[in-house]
Amino acid sequence: SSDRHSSTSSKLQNEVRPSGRGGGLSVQDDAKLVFGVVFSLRNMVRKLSGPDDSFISYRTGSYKLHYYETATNLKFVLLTDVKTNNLRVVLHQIYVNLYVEFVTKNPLSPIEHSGGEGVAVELFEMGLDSFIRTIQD
Amino acid sequence: MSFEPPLPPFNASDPHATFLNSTCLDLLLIELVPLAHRLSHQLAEAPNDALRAGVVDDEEDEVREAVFYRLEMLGYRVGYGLVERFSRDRPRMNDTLDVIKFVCKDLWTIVFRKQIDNLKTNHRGVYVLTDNSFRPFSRMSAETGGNAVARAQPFLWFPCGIVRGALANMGVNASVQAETTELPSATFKIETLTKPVV
Repeated sequence: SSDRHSSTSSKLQNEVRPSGRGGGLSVQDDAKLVFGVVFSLRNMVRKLSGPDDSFISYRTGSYKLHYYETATNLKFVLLTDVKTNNLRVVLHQIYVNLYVEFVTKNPLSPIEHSGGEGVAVELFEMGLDSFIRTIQD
Repeated sequence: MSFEPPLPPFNASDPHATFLNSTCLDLLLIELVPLAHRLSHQLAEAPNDALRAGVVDDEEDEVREAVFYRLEMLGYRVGYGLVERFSRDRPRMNDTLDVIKFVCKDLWTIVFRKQIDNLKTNHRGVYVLTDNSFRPFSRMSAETGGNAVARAQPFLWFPCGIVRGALANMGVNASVQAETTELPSATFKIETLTKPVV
């Protein structure tokens, strides 16, 4: 089902919040909304452009959403301001250098991550935080 | 994982060269601990469940002992064989301290790709080896407050066995214990049980 496998890094969520959001939505609710949008868009793009994953990003008046999906159906989403160039490469690096290293190869991680369990581990979050800060400079 | 060819002096087109992807080995070794847990739990549940009904704590201890025994004996066999294979180019070692140094430098480099950072001894058969960035702990992390240090403990039992097996095959009969107080460091305590080999 749609929200079974989502996990969000809350540090990033707090720093890059689309403007105009007044209601007190929790990080988990945000994650569910984003997943729903991304899932539908990705399917629609596949029907339009074929099976190769062509959904790269979308932009509204207030934010840009960057998307990257792995061969293992992991979905990485990054929300930024509208002026940022495409960060698909960044998401790929996050996957290869942070997710694979600190989640997949973590002996304390469960094999599957239902409910996002075992993804928000300290080394992953710290690595993610410093990586994003490096890029922002 | 990488599909890139190995760097020189290793040559992938050499028909006698054999390579192993290190990520494959890492993932296999990571799975050793949950496997030992599952096996021990299954074996503990097998006989009379009725008899064990009220004895939960003892059973947990028993299972933990069984997991320790399983992993440590696996390590013993590995350490014993490793030393046979890798000490062939070394001259015969004169005393226990030489053997311990071999463990700290050569064995640690072969198994954990670095040397021991600190060696202490009381000169009466007790040696304390400290590794400040123990390789199996390099990717070990939990969610904040997730008690990573306690959960890391079983991952030291297989390495303890490796050390004990290596020592045994070099003529040093010893007990080996390990613990961690802060990831990613680990401390191994070797207590020799016989007089030093002269």
